[in-house]
Amino acid sequence: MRMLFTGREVAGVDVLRWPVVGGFLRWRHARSTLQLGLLVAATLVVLHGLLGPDIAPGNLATVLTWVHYRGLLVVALLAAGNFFCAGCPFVLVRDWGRRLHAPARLWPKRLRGKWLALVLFAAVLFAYELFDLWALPRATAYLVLAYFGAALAVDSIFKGATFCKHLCPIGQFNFVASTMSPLELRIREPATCQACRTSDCISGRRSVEAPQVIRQRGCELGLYLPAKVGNIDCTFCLDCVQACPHDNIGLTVRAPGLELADPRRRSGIGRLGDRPDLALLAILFVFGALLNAFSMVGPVHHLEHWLSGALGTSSEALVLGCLFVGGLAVAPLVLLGLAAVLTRVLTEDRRDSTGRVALRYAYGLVPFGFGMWLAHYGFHLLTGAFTIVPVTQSAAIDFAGWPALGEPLWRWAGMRPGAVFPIQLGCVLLGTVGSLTVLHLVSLRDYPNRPARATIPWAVVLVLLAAAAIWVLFQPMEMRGMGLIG
Amino acid sequence: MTFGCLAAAACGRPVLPAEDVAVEWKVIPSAPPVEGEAIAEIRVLDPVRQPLRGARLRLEAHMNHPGMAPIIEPLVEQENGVYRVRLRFSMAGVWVLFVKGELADRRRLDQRAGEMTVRGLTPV
Repeated sequence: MRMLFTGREVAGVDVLRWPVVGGFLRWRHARSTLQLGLLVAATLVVLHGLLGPDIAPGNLATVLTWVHYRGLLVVALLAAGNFFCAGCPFVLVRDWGRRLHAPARLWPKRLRGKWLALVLFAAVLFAYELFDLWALPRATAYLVLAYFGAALAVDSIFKGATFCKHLCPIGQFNFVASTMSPLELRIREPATCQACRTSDCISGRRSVEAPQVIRQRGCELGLYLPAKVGNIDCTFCLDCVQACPHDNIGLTVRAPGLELADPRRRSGIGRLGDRPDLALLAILFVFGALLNAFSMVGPVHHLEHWLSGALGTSSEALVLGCLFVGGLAVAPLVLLGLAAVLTRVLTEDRRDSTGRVALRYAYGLVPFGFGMWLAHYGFHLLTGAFTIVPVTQSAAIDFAGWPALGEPLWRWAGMRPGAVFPIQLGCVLLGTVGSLTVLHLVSLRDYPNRPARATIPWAVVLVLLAAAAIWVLFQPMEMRGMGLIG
Repeated sequence: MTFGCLAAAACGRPVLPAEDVAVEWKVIPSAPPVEGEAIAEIRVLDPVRQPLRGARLRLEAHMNHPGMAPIIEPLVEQENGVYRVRLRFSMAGVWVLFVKGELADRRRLDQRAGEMTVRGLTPV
């Protein structure tokens, strides 16, 4: 089992050594180039969201954000890594803000970790459903502005990447999802790091002439590269690559998902098994995927009407709140709790509490959750990929007053929903297989004498979740808000 | 040369929007099933509620979710001043209807008519 987690599973494949791509990523302005591109996109989102038509399919704010950004985000995470955090425009604006006001404080110890981020992530998912953000260009624009404002405000007061590490809901989603990415920033030669006395990768590279001046910052998320394991909390900013004076950091290919069962202590994080906040984030990621997809199909409206009657209320917030509590708290508590109890019983091993067992195994469900997010966001991307053309043409008319890019080609959309369905099914099934693999690795790690018995309850949970996901995919989609009227 | 300038000026005359026009619509059935056939009937009325004839109009139906393909179909004028089109909705949910085109007096019409709900299939 230990042989799996040496950090050198696929030696020699280093993207930073590739021609063209490697050269670009090693370029000191690579990140800002990505960020400028996304800043332009964010600007268009805000402008058209506030000034353009109030119809979601015809506005860049909703199309770019809820179709293209979300879809390309998960595709990039699957194909490469957390490059959308690398290109985050909020951080670019924050960096500009820090030239005017440098932060002086450290984020309070009692607020460190993912607890706040958990609440914010759940709050964004809730607000998305309650206010039908996907249908509201103006609200989408305000959401983007709120992200800019929050990143600027927080990181103007607190040092490092406080907003990214402890607060940003998109970042937390990306951190969990990037455990499934095939690329990871790692040291090339351990001996080089052992001989290093300056630890530039985390403390930054200082000017030789004036050592108090940091010429290139190190990892703002507190990841010391020789002890870094996996992709959690890594924003792919490549500051460590720029800072390392020995060129000893590579962007290496690895087996996706394995880090979820890696028992090693991680720089800036500790051991996954000792982080209940991270485990709950993983649970939110997984069950949030199911709930988010379920909210778009017909049966949810029947369920909300039934709940409304049962509770004697017409309050959408209350009904939705019940759905969220059920889906994000009760369901995981029951399923994971029962599985943990059975694991202790079947293995006849009661060293760890039920809660501790559940939290350790929770990470194993992430591949399934990723598969579900990919199925959902991938659907919208594939069925609406080409709508960016007519919407951009329409936006040009809105801004310029004439069809500068031609009359909108409104018939351009994407794949037929029926054609996307097999791809969605494939994503969920592959994610399920991935989760089964990771869950069994956890069993091999924690119950080496009875791994099969330890895995059985979790395999049952996984099958139930996969069945629920496939059932959701089979349901007729109904794209309307969660309102109780109509 | 004078004629050419006048012609150029005429061609360049801006198209006026029809702002005093009301659009009435109905879809039969009122909540059609997804992939089922529906008929949309539109009436375009002047300020004294007389139907306007001779317009070249199209119906645009957009879902309220981004990324979904719209339905864009020409409306065919009937004898009684009603404009009609057969529709088939590809997705269940809320659809927003727009009536766009040109009136007989060449004024441009671009109005949001209203919203309707397309019923989903029976859940599996």
